Amino acid sequence: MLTKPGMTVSRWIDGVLEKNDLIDQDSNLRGMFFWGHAPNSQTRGAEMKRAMDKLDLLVVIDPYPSATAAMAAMPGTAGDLNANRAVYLLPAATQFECAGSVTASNRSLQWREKVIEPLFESRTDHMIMYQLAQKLGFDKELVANLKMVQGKGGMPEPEIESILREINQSMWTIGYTGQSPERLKAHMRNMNVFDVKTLRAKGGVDKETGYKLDGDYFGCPWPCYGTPELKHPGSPNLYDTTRHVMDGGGNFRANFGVDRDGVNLLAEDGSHSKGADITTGYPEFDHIFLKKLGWWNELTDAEKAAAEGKNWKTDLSGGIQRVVMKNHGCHPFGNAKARAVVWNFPDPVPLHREALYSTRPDLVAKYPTHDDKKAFWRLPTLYKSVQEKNKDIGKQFPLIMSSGRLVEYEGGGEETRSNPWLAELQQEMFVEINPAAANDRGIRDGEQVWVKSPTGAKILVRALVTERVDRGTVWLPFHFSGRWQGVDMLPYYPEGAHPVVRGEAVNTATTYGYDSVTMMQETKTTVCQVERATA
Amino acid sequence: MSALRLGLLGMVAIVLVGCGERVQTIPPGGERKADTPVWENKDKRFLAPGWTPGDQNSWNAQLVDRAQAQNDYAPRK
Amino acid sequence: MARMKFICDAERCIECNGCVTACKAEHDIPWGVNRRRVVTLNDGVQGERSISVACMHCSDAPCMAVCPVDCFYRTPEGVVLHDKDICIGCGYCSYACPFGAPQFPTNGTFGLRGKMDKCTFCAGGPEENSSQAEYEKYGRNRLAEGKLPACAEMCSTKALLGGDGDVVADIFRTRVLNRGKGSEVWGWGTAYGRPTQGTPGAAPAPAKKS
Repeated sequence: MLTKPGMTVSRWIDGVLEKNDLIDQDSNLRGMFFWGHAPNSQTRGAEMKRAMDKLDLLVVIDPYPSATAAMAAMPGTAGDLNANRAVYLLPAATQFECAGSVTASNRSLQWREKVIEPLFESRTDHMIMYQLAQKLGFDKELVANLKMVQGKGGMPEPEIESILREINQSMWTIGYTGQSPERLKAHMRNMNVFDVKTLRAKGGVDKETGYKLDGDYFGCPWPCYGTPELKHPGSPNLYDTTRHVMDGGGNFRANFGVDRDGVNLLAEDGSHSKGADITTGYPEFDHIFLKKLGWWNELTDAEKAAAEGKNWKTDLSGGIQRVVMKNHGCHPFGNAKARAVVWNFPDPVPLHREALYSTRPDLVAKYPTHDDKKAFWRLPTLYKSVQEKNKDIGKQFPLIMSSGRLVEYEGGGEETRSNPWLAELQQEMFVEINPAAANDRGIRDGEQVWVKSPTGAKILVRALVTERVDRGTVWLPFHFSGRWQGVDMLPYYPEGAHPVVRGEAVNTATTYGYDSVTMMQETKTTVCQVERATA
Repeated sequence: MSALRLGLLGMVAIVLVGCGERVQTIPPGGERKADTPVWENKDKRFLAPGWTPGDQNSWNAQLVDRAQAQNDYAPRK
Repeated sequence: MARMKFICDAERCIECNGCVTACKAEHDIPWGVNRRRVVTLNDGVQGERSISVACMHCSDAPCMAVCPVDCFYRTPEGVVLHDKDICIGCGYCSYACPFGAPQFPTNGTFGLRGKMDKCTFCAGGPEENSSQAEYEKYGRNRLAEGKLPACAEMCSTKALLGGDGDVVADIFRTRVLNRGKGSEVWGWGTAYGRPTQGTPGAAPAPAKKS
């Protein structure tokens, strides 16, 4: 069960609904944990409701559990509901109610402080995880390397610094090892020493610990290699050969071997990061390579003991990374060429393949999709059969339906639509439709319309007539939930837990379609028809 | 117009003025309160560092300096 | 002496509504009262522009001129404020203001307007600076803390500039010079067309597409 890649979150409903003999594991999915996850951010909402009804166990862990709770509680298709289904809502702490490290989208890490104790019955995520592990019987193994402290109400929970330290001791491959809690906290206490344009510290000594901040990039953006003692500054830009590797520089990794079909995959002579002792391409570092180069004896005895038989990814002392980077300016993951042709993907270079649901049968014929896959991440995944069946779907559903984001809301939207200041900015779900497409359908700006999809689902939203979309396309935001095909779900929310603004979820109507490598769901292109709602 | 008419109008006016018209000037104590100058602040809890409460010139200088944070072309810590 | 002004750089405004949310949060403003709004012109079309609008703290404020109970006043910094205790909620200032700055919370029976509420340049009101009474009626007094309005300081692109008029004008001018455009959004010529030499009230030239 645990030795092959599992089902992706985008396909969990098929794990429940698919025929048992077609899935690549013994049993179907019987229990789901919605841990900080919004149901309306996943496609095929109508089928999701059926899957939710069939589960034995549904646990929602979130500061705002309302959308999942309401979707589970509302009546579905007769006969779907599993009489044994148990639904649990566990309130989790918000960002203000716990401390810990967070990673920003520029790869910097920051240490967050707790502002208030968790309110009401909410508990921190790590306390909930520990308590779940206790119930399942592997709590001792889970926290073997972690210090336990007293959390809310005196209940034990892993110390949050310990958790980051465990990450620091194990994630050598992506450089999550140098960002110790001490370095991050020192950064937060001394934000003023960091240059606002380069994010690099200019001098500075932390009063509390004496830590010298000079040279660090704010938040030690990963990859930040080696142990925290190595004091790698973090990497502000990836693959920057104008800098030394100990200065945040790097080169492309050697991840695909040394050569292929007689062609050298490593970097050519003269292509290397600044100051590297090896000025040609080189493979990933392991104990054999270090010994060949005569660098093995630069390791301490303790490091040698840990690094024997290991490589830069599995040497838990960090010695290989230290010697390679600090003493010789080389990159532990090797120095190779970047791949423009990804030979192990279904399409080595990106090719256009028409979407499964398309309004253009001529393009379907010219750019057909992949063949069906029998077992992909444990599930049968269809491409060509769906596309063939829906070749002429454009006759009934002539508009391309795309979905995306708004500024004022985030993700599934339950949290942000509960904030009155944000909710006031966008009080209704809408569909952007071109003036010509609207006029052809007798739709005026602001009127209620039904958006219907090939799944049979239809959602009731307000029309926003705008030139922003072209004549053949409509666009909807995905942040709304709380209305289901025209019906207000308010009665099914836990009392007092409903958000300020509710609306239809676009994903109630979205269709089947998954990426051929990542199983990413298709939210950007399917088809629909829009009709003016009467009465 | 005739003297009778004038007299009648005059009497109507006097009656109107005399009968229960509310005073429309602002009563004492109802005037707009005087506002304290913005650089005087007794509450020390949330003051931005770098200026002295009570000192107008210090406040002026503080705001001019702080406004430069909106300027990408100004070199600033 | 500082004369406080706002200017919103239309070249930079991305309609994020950060300013609107900052104002709401800073002063705990109820639903329905919009001290600051982002106005978008030509939405969805090439050349779409947005600006953030609130009280402009006019040198010759029409709201002050028309108020029947004289509840407005101007501080030495040029900030236009009013006294809610005197305001009668007549709404005349709302008619007079070209920017729609005066706002009225609807409360009570018959849709009665409450006391007028508007952007204070984060300078509170007549009550004691930074007192609880001032906060409850007018919101936070940031100027008294030595800070600038929350909207300008929170602006994600520094489109909305707030502060001493000379300073913000200088910042805006430096930007326009460096990028070579952006100032044509403002001004009489853009709004009404440039008059031809010597002919009073000539037909306006077509507005330059920005």
